[in-house]
Amino acid sequence: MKEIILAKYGEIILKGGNRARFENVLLNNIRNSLREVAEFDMRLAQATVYVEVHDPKKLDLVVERMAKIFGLVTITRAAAAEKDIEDIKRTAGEYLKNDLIEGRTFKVEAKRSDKGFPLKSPEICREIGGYLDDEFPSSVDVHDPDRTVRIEIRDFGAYIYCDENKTAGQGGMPIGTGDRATLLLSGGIDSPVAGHMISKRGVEINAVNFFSFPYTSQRAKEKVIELASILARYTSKINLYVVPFTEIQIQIRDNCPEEHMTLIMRRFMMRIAERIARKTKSLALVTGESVGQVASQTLSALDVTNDVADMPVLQPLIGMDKNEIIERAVKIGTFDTSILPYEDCCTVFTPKHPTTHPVRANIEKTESRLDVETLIEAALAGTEMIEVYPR
Amino acid sequence: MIYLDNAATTKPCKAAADAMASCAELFANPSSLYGIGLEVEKKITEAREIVADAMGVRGKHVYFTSGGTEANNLIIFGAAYSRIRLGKKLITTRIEHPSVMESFRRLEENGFSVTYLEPDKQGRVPAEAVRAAADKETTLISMMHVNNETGVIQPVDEIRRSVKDIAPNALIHCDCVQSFGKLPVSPGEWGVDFITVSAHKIHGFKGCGAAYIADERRVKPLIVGGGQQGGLRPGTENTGGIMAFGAAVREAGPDADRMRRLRMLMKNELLKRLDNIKFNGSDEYNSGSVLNVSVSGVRAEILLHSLEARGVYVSTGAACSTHKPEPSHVLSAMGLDAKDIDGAVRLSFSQNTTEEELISAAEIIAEEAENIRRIMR
Repeated sequence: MKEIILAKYGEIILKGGNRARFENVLLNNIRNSLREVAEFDMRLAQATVYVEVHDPKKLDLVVERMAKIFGLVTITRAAAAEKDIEDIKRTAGEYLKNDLIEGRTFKVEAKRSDKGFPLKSPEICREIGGYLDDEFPSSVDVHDPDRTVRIEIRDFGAYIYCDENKTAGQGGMPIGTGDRATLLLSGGIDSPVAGHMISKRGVEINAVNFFSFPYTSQRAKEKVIELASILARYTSKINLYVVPFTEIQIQIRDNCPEEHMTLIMRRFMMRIAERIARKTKSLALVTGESVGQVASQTLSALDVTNDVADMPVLQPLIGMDKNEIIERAVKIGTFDTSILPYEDCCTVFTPKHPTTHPVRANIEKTESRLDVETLIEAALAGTEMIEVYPR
Repeated sequence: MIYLDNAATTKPCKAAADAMASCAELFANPSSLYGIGLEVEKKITEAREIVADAMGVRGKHVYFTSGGTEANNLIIFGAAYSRIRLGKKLITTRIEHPSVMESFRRLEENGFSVTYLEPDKQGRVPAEAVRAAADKETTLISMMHVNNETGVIQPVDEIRRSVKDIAPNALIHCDCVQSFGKLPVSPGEWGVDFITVSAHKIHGFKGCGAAYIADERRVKPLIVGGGQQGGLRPGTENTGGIMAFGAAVREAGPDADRMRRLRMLMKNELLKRLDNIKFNGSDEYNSGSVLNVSVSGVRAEILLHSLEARGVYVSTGAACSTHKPEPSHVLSAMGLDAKDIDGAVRLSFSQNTTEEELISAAEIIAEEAENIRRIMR
């Protein structure tokens, strides 16, 4: 018996004239992701990607990888049989023996996309259902079964699987179909989730992190790299730009009112991120803000912050509660790293009473005491690029 | 580089490194019957004798472990359970290493009652406190010799005398990880039943420590296996680590007077250059290898990283505890307030530390601390 993987994609089908291009990008992404873990053959037909893994021991690993590729909706392990009703019976009998055990109910659903097959779908159901009912201790229940056995008669063969053994995919669009954006990545919970959400829409991302040594430690930087490497499981390699930020913080500290500290800092971050974005041909910035979460995330604060960026600022978490964000962080696997304690000694620079409703003119006025351009140039000159691979 | 974090770990000495390297050739299993196995076994026996000699005990009572943590676990669990019929009362202190503290926590969960003795403001647990807590149901008293965060020497030599009449069933354990090779460690003289030591704190390698166990019947193995080391600590021996341990002990000399002079020198150099600093822990009872200083208006972690950028390596609290963002349990127990704990930096010295290094380190520390004070306002 041969077991293969059938992966189905969703939204791409709707792409009309662009569909072929999107499919090619998806196949390339799958190829790149799987190449490191297994040898395999792959083909595409009827909105399904067929993956035959040469070494059956690698199947679990391949499914796990595919479950992280944007664009795929379900990933299913299935037994392949000849397009012959007797072979389908034999294969189903062998393949389903661990599913159709005592005390469970099942039903059979058949789909015949190859209309050349001699039996019609209801006939296939009857044949196979009857056979399985005779062979196994489980009984048939067509309304609320514990296992739904699917028989698909397709172009290259017949395939057998249980709905219950499907793995949910990420959905979304294949990376590389949606241009590039630059993510402002901190060590916190929110920004990795924001990056995941935007890249899920097919957008390739690179990332910028602001590093305040010695106020944040080498370990804090390692933590950001770790977060990027978790994101990279979904996106493949991420270029991470680490920007030295201490001097800017000290200058703001020494020259601007304490309550403006955070906002002016964030305006610098946006300006620097935009420069990096333009240099790397990104078309937007991505941040992890959610309205009202902290003082710098009120609408008026966001207005003052985003004002300095001359490109779209995507904020996918904008309407989410903290616990919704945490739920997603847990799901994508960044949460445990985000809550490691090496966070910010950066709290040194956090004002006790930050402005929650800043007036743009006031912020601009205090900011004008600084030589903004020179500070930005110096920070960019000291920026280090790290290529982060999936881990 | 000026390395002032020798209480966390030390640089292996040349003799230790040579011993370790020799194991690439002396690779045989010490339990193997042929000649080259015997040769390795002899080297291990030699190392065991060196370690035992340094404590004035016989080699057969010294068991090599994976380090101080394992030795502490082995001794504490073994001792507590071996006398369970005589009582379930145990005594330790608030300033022990986590591997001791957590062992006692576990015993508490399993029905033992544990008294945790408080140190005084100088970081020393008075011997009278042990006497006040002990009675005839007390079966184990565990106290460290030198505290890893303050360098303060505990009165381990007085415990036996002070509890002899009231707690005849008490076994005594002493964690000597921070003192072995630096101060005299004499279980025989002290009347102590168990000692814990570690190689990497005295210029050996990580992954090797030892337990001195006066009476093997008092301890049950934590792990079972092929019967090595009398079955008490089975597993093929860490031959390189053990041989290096022996070599390191041979080179270590109790040199407490020099260490204390270095410590006082550093203290004075800092006092000359920085105001608003406080020193934590007794000068009178100090091993000399640790200087703990609270720099007011400075977060220790930031100072640590600024010093790192200038090639000076220090620590905030104990290295093992920096995985948890909790304040130092030792300094808390000594009654320091949160601000002084937050600003506490630990400088720890070794026999390689020089006066010149300390003077330059003091200059750099003062500069960086002032810098941070200015920014933190």
